[in-house]
Amino acid sequence: MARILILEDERAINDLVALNLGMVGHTTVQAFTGAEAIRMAAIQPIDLLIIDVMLPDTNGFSVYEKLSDIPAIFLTALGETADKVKGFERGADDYIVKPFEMTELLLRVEAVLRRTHKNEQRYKIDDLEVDFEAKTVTKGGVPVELTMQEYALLETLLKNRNIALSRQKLMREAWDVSFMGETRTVDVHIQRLRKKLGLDDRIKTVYKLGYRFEETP
Amino acid sequence: MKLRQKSYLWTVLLVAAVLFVSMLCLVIPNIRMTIGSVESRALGEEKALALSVDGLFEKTPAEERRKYARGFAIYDSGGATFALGSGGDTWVATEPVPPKTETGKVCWVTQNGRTVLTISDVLSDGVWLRYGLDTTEVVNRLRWQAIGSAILCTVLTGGIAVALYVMQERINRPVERLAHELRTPLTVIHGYGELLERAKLTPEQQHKAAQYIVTESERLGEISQKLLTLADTRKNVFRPERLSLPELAAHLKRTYPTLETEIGWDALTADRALMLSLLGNLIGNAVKASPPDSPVLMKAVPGKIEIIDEGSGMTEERLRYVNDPSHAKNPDIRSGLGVPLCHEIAALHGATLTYSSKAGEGTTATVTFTTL
Repeated sequence: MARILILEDERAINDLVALNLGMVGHTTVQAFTGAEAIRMAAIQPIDLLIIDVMLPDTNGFSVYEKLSDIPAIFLTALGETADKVKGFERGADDYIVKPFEMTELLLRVEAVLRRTHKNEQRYKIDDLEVDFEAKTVTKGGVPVELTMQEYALLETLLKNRNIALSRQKLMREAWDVSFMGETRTVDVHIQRLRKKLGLDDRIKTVYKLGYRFEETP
Repeated sequence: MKLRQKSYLWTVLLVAAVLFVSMLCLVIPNIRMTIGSVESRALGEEKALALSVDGLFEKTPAEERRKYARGFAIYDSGGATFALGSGGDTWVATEPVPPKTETGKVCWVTQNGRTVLTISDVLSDGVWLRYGLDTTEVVNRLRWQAIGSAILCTVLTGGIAVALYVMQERINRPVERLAHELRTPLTVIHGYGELLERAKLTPEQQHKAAQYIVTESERLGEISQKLLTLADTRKNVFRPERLSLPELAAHLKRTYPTLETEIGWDALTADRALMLSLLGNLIGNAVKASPPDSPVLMKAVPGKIEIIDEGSGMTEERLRYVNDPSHAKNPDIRSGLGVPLCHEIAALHGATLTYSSKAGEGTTATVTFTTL
């Protein structure tokens, strides 16, 4: 998984981002000042930077100028459009507006990592192995045949593992279907996934929310 | 932001329109009146002239009259059809009447850069009299009047636009600052709330998330308190009374137990709530900037209260901002409501707030009471 450096002076937000990224298996390095971030990036390989634009000692862009060979996502406050423009001019890969949703953050991180080929290639748990590149699933070394919908659903659950996703969110993220209303199809496909892959203990129904892939039972 | 600019533009346009319309309402009757009086003067003169010419030639045959009239008038050698009459600026011409001449009608003619008012009249026996009045000066005067009013309107509109802009900035800046300060607690509360709802957390993580939500909602409370105080200073809820400084210091010590005091000033006249808010803010900032065991000193001498810390100090840019928050050009400087609020409270008491600081050595905030 990727090693991500978070530069954000507010400890609460820094911890929040770290917790979110840790949830899906990323390793995080936390920095609270620009100087600290530069020091930390020098001693270890970093796959992605998440930088707050407003820092007490300096601003995020000037820190980024010293680290610009690493892909970066900027955190910016609502309505700071000038910031966004500035960020993109200086080569930011994406930005996230505070307050943000967890899945939004993970989605953007995943997108940037995919672009830079630093994303997760395969995922293993118990005797299950998912190859995200080849889009194949094996169980106990034996390939399992999944429909496209089933595979997309599994991938979305795994990319957001340990986080509950609503049925609507699953439809939108996995199948790119955005209409509201009939979500029973999700339940049907979840049932099939559980049965085919023996994931009854992993794909949990979360009361009133939806489904969650749990790494720890 | 967009909307605000749009409504601002509309307001300015409206003001400009109102000004121009009212100026037109003032200028147009004036122009009308001036032109009317010129015309009536011309009509009167023309009539008198016609009568005198007619009277002069009453018994003479038409052919003779024409000759006399020519003799009476002096033709302009430049070939103009006008000849000099009674005044320096009037002409009279007597010629055979061209067909379709409307008699007694005022015509404005511009010729060779001069504006001339003409009236045609047919005298008895077909003698045609054409009267001309040079009105160039009058017209020029009116023109300059109109241009002057337009310039005045534009200048006034510009002035009002600037005034409106400044007012809008004054109203909006604290609001923007507030929105800014709200951002962190909102992000934290939303983020950890979402984590608690959706993620499978360990008990320690759950505890941490809940703790963050609680502390950040306390921060929201503080912001709302500051906003209320700001609203109060704006509304001029200002009740000065005689306050005992040792008592104030004791009160502040209850909130900030690490505060050390050195009080050499008995009492001052101030609004208790606002003064506590000001000193509390200054001490709070000093405590925040200091390491846990480092002292913060409140020192009062007559006319002056100082809050001295040995904390991290400020950068030059930050120092410039805290000394004059109204001129902060750099939006990258993190700014809360606290500093502008402190200045506002100080100003309300006829006092000034100044900071001196050295990075790494600490900061001194000084409230100097100039009017006491």
